[in-house]
Amino acid sequence: MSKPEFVYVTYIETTAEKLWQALTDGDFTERYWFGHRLTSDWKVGSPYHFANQGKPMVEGQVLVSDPPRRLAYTWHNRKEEAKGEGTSRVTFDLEPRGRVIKLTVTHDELGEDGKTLRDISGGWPLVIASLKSMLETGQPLPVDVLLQSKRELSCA
Amino acid sequence: MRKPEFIYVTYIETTPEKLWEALTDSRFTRQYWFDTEVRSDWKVGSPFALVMGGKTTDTGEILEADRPRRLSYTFKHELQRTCARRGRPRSSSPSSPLASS
Repeated sequence: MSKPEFVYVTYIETTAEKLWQALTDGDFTERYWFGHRLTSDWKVGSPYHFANQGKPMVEGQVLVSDPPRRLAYTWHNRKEEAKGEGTSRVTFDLEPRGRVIKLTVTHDELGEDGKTLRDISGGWPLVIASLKSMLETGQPLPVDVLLQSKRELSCA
Repeated sequence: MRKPEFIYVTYIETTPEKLWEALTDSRFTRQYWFDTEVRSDWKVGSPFALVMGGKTTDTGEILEADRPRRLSYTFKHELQRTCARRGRPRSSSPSSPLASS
């Protein structure tokens, strides 16, 4: 049987370059990813980490960096409630469709126990909806969406 | 074995009432659903149809209409093309209270 995986697709009216920047630039991620600041030099093999107000949240290694088409990194959750969870993998595929970019987020190599899958299944829709709102309207989703969905957001 | 199903979650900065309107009013659906009209009186048991360019593409029946929280209808594709479906899968559109934020 194949390991659990999570696939989320959306369409964003933007350019591949702007979407790439939003996925890799900490100033952008901090705005739409509810305070999560992303840091890396985005070279294959380099480390990256997410921090929220200086506190480490998620870290890993860059696996694929093919701007502005494909970005992949390993995903190791540093939060206390995720202790003991293994390392999984996140891949972003950006495909132009006219004046729109089709974004596919694939989170795979997840543990067999299903815990990480449950957690990230709640988190990705929030993060990607906020990313889409920011690129299309200039504003991410208001942070109260997060306060009212804390349980769903415990890992992403 | 369970039948296949598809679940998609998103978050929209709007109110439940506006989202309900957007799901049930053809003035809205024609704008975002690639010129598709939705036809129904949205009462439980009433017929439902999607119409594109005067042609009925899909039909169904209203299963739930709990405005502005949950909408559910059966869904059967009527044009025998690549996306013809067998049976009558449910399509449900719960509009979460979170959307009101």
